[in-house]
Amino acid sequence: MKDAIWITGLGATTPMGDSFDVIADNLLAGRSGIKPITAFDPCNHGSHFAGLVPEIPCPASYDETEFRALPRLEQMVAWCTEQALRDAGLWDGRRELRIGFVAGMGAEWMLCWEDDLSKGGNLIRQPEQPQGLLHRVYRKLEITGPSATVGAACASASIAIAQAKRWLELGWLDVCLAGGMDASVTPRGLASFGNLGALSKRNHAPAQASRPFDRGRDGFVMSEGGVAFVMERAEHARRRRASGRAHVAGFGASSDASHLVIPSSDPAPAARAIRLALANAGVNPGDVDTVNAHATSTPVGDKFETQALYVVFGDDATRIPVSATKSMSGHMLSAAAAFETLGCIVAMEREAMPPTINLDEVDPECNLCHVVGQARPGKVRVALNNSFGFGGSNTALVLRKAG
Amino acid sequence: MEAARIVAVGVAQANLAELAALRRQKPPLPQQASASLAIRHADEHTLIAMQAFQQALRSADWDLAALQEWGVLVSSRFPGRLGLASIFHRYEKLGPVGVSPMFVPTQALHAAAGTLSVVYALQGPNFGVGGGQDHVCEGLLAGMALDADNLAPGIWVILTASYPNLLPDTQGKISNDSILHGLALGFSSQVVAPSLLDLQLRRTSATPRSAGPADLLELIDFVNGTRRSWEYSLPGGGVLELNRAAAPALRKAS
Repeated sequence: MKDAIWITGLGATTPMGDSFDVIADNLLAGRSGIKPITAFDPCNHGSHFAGLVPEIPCPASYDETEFRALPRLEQMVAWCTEQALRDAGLWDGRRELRIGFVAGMGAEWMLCWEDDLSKGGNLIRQPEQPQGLLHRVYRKLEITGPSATVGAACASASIAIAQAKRWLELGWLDVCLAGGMDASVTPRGLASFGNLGALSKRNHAPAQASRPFDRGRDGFVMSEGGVAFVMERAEHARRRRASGRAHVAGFGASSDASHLVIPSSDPAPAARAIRLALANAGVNPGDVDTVNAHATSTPVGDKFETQALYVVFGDDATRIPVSATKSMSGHMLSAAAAFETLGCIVAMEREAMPPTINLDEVDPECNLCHVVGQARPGKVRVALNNSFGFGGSNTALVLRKAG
Repeated sequence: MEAARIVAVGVAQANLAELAALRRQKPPLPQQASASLAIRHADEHTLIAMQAFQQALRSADWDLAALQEWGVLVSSRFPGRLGLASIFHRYEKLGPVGVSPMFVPTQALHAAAGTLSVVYALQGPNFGVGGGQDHVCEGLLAGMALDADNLAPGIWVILTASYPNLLPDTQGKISNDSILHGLALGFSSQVVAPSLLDLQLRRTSATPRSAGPADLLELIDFVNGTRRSWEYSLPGGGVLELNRAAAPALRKAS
C-alpha cells in the first residue's frame, strides 16, 4: 500500500491575508478581499475592481530593497515557498534534502515580459532570455531537486499538487513544494478577460461582485496571490516528528474536449474528474463532508458544476455542504486551486466550513447545500476541491484529515 | 522504478510559410464545432504540436477515434511570445479594446494542450508544462508522472521549440527566420502495442547536473536514430534517460 502524501507546511500571500491564521479568520468571518484597482487606472475597462494583495511580505532571507525590485510574481513565489518551508519546520534542514517544486503558473513568461515592459524594458524582443523564475528562487532557497511549471488555466494549482503527489509516490524526492501563483491583475490581463465578457461589472459594489450560485451573478472577479504547500510522504514526516495538516488523498482529471473557453453543457466530463478523484482516494461519494466548489460566479460555470455534482452525488448533493470561497477571494486563476485547498484545510483544522457570501438568492439551477453567509460548524474529515480551467480542463482533489 | 513506455512517436518541423498554411487547415473532426476557431487563433507552438501529433498517428497507423480517452500535455519554450508582443502594440495604440478576447485562451501555457484536446476530442487530462528553457525535462517528468496516475489509457507528451527563438517586432509580427520543431511521444502502459522507447528517471547520488537546459533537437536526433543516446542529469541527483526498446514486446492492458 502506498504511503500517504501529507501537506506539512504552507505559505500564502492573498487578498485574504498572508498567513494561515489571518486567512482562516477572514474566510470564516465571511470577509471580502475585493477592492477597487489602484495600481493602474482601470476606468477604460469594464471591471474596475479585483482581489488584491496590498504588499507581498518580504521573506526573512531577502534584503527588502532587492525583494521589492523583483517582478510581482517572483515576489509571490519567493514569499510562499520560504514561508511554507519554515511552516513545515524544514528551513534549517532544507539543504540536506531533495526538494522539488511543481508550480502552477499559467502565465509566468507573459507576466515577466509585461513587468519588464512596465519598467521600460524590451525583454520580449530580445533573442536571449533569462532562466525561469523557479531557477532564481531555487538559488535563493538553496534547494536542489527537479522542478516543473504547469498550466491548466484556473486548474493549474490542482495539477501542480497532483504532480507533486505523484513525484513523491514515485520516490523522486524527499519533499516537494507545490502550489500556484498568479499576478495577472494587470492592464492587459484585465482587458483580455474583460473582452471575453467573463468579468463582473458590478463597479458600484466590488465586495458584492463575486456571487457564486446567486441568481444575480454576472461574471467572475479577477484576483491575485499565491499559495505554496510543503508535501512529503507521511512516513518521512513522522520520522521527523512533523504533523500533517492534510492528506492529499486523491486526484482526478478529464477534459471537456468541446470548447477553449465555455464549459461543456454535458456534466459528464467534469463528473468523471470528480469520480476519478474519489476512486483514487478510496472514498465513497457519501463520505465527503464538504465541497469547496470551483464556483467562479459566471452564469454558465456555476450551473454546469451544480449538474456535475448531482451526477456524482445524486440526492446527496442537497446534503453535502458546499463552500464557494471565491465569493470572498475572487478568482486567483492559476493560484485558485491552491487557495481553495487551503480553504479545505481551514475547514478541517477549525472544524467549520467557510461561507459563500453574496448568495442573496440562490439560482434555482444551482440548488445545492450552500453554506450561506456564515461559516457552518462541523467536523470535516474528507473534503472535495473542484477546479476547472480554460481548455476544458477538469480537475478534482480529495483531501483527508491527516493522521 | 519501472520505465515509462513510449508506444508512438511523431516528429514535425515547419517554417513560417508552412505554419501559415497549417493555420488554414480544416479540423479533422467535423463534429468538433469550435475547432476551426481554435486553430485559426492558435499560437505557432500549438500548430507544430498538432503536426507532430498527426505524424505520430500516421506512424502508428492509429485511428483517432480509438484515442479519445487519452490525455495530452504540451511543453513548449516561450509559447505566446508573438501573441503578447502584438497585445503590447495594440494596447498601446487602442487601449483595452485592442486586446483580443482570444488572447488568454490561445496563448497562455495551457493553450496548446487545450486546443489539441478540443480539435482531436481527447478527453483525458490536458495541461501545459514548461514555458521556458527547461521545457524538455519538465515535459518528460510531468508526462511520466501523469502516465503513472493511470487516469487515462495513454498520455501524449508533445514538446515544441523554435530554432532560433521566434522574435517579435514592435507590432508583434515575426522578425526573424525560424523553424518550429515538434516531437510527440505517446506514453502508455496499457495499450497493446510494441514499446518503441523507454523513459526512466535513474536515481544516482552524486551526478553533476547537465550543463544548460536539455535541447529538443538533440532529443529529436536520438528519436530519429542520428544520435546514439540521450540522457540528462537533473539537479539534486537523478538522470533522465531515454532508451530504445531492446525487443519490442507486447504488454496487455493492466
